[in-house]
Amino acid sequence: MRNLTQFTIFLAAAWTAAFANISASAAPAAPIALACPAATTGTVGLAYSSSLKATGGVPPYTISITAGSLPTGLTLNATTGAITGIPTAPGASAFTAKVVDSLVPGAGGAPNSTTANCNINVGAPSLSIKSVSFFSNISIYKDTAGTTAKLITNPMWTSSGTNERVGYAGGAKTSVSVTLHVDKPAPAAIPNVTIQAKVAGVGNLTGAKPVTIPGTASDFVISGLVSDTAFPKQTKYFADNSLTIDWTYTIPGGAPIAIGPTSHTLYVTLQSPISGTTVFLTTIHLAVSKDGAATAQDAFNNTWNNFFAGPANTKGWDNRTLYYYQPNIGFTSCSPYQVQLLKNGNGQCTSWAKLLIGSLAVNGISSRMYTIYTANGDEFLVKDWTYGNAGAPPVAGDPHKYPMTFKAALGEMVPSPTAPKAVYGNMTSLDTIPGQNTKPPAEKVFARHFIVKYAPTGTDCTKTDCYYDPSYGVTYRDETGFQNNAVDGYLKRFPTDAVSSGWVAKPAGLNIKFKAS
Amino acid sequence: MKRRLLLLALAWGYGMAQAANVHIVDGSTCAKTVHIFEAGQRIEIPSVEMQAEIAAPGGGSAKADILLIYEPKSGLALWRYQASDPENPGGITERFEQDSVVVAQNERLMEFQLIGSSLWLRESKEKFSTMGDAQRAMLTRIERFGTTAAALMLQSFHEVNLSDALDVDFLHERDNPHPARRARIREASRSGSDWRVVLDGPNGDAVEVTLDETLTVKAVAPVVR
Repeated sequence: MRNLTQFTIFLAAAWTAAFANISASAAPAAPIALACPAATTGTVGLAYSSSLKATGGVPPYTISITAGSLPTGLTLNATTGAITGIPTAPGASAFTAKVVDSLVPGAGGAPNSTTANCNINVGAPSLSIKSVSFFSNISIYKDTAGTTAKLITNPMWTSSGTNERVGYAGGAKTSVSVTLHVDKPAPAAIPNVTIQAKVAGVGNLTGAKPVTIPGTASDFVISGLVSDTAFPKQTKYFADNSLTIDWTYTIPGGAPIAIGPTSHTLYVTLQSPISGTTVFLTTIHLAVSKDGAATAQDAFNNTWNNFFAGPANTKGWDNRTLYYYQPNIGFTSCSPYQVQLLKNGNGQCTSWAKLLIGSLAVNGISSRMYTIYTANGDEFLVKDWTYGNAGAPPVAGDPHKYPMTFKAALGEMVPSPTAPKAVYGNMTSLDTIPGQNTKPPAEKVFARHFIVKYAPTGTDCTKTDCYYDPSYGVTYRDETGFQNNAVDGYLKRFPTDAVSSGWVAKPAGLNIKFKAS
Repeated sequence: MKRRLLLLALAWGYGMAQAANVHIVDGSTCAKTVHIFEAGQRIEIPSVEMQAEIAAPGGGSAKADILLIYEPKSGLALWRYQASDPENPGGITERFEQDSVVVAQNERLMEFQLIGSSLWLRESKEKFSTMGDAQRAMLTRIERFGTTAAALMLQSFHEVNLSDALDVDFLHERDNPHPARRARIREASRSGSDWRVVLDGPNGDAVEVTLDETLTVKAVAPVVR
């Protein structure tokens, strides 16, 4: 009986143990699961931290990305599932994450695994350009201010509509200051952002500077953006806002993020203007509006070409016609001052000479005003100039448009340097140049005339014309040439004359004098 | 000079042969005053201006502005005749005041005008008891010479060309081609046997031109203001 009892006790214990073992190995584990990161959004430049959360199965887990990818700049901890880092680019990232548990194969099963399809959207602050200022540039004065010349000041471009013209000297680097606005801010300020300004069409002009983008909707200024390279030393005109600056910002390790472009009208001169030169919109326009002059002579030719064949062809920067004695404007109403010519659109020979000199000086080209006068003190009468051959009609619609032209056979005083030789017209009084000397005689009487001498080193002015007359768009060789071809006669005034005149024939010999002003 | 002599001869010839019909335009006679220098002082003396219509030799007529100035102390008179500006008749007194400087000195009136770079001078030693006498004498002469009186008058001027003595930039407003912006006479005076004429340039500077008794330029010196 004792044995039976002992067996029964043993059997019961064994059974219990066996049952217990059976019970332990067959207990159902929680199914493995993987949850996407709780933080589904991030911001470029700002630290991101979230995790893929695994549950169930037999830990520890191994987590991986099996399809798609995390946002650039973020990394996954395969053990913990943590996703951290600083996103470097905006965008939506869809990825499939997989988790595998630690169930030992062969012990009654295989490792459990599951996947999850997740998304993390990375945003970026939205910026816009509010204003752009250009520094280290050529200071340009507005034509319209007259004697109180008004400097174009920064900012030269604003989102509210300001878009002033900008000038740079060839060989200079752009230096820009920009005011940006945070339209859609990030949750916090983003440090170490690089603002870039890439100038299209002028090689690789870029400038960069690290800044912090505010975490609020506000303005912030970045100054001292200096281009990596300089403008070439040749004239260049970016007309009609054809110079585009593409503004971007970049966080470390990231790709540029567009802010937007700004467009500018910009002049690049051959070189720095002559010291002391007041640069006006029209003088820089006349100096630079034709591209590609890489030498002083080329730049001179381009500038003079704006004056050639008479001021009727000379336009201001805004395409206004600039007049040498504007029709129906009296002699005394035509100013000798360049600023008044630019402001009012009409002027006499002095202002035209100064306009040419000032336009050349913009490109660093030196020239000098010369006075034409008579040795005996008489006044002189310029001829009535006609187009081409005698009898040529005035320009339709503009009875005053009679540029002075010359006889090619003389070998001098021909329009130069680029235009074909013209033919000297007749000497019939046509009362052509308006506004002056409206009383008889209809000839044009001057006490003096003002022209410009341009004679770079090495020029032989006995063989080429060095005297340029922007009032008439022609060139002169010397005093004799002017007397023979430009002067119709001389006027001597007497004390008994109420109106003016007593005519004196041309005196024998040379009566015309040129003198540096 | 030959041209002037010819004109003078023609004028005399015509005037001696036939007196011109001179008609003073009604209402044009006007008593005024002008300024002259006397003993270094600028004084005011009476003058009269009128407009005359003068029969031209070939028919028709011409208008002229006439001015007579009269220095009552000495009885010296000086007259001016010039063809009317058809667009702006009259105003001869104002033009005279603007253009001419007259010095009363030693029984003569000396008139100075600066036109362009030339100094024009003429003197009058004609004396009359009254201004009325002077006016009658003037009209008689105009009747005699008619429209050629202008040429006759021109003969009475002596021209001194200063273009060699003065810089072109003194005579004209700087950088201005306009013929009217010129130097003007500020004052004239007698100094010993010389004439001293102070000219104000249009650019703010001034010079004193000294002419000797023969009206030759003796010296030009800047005037410090």
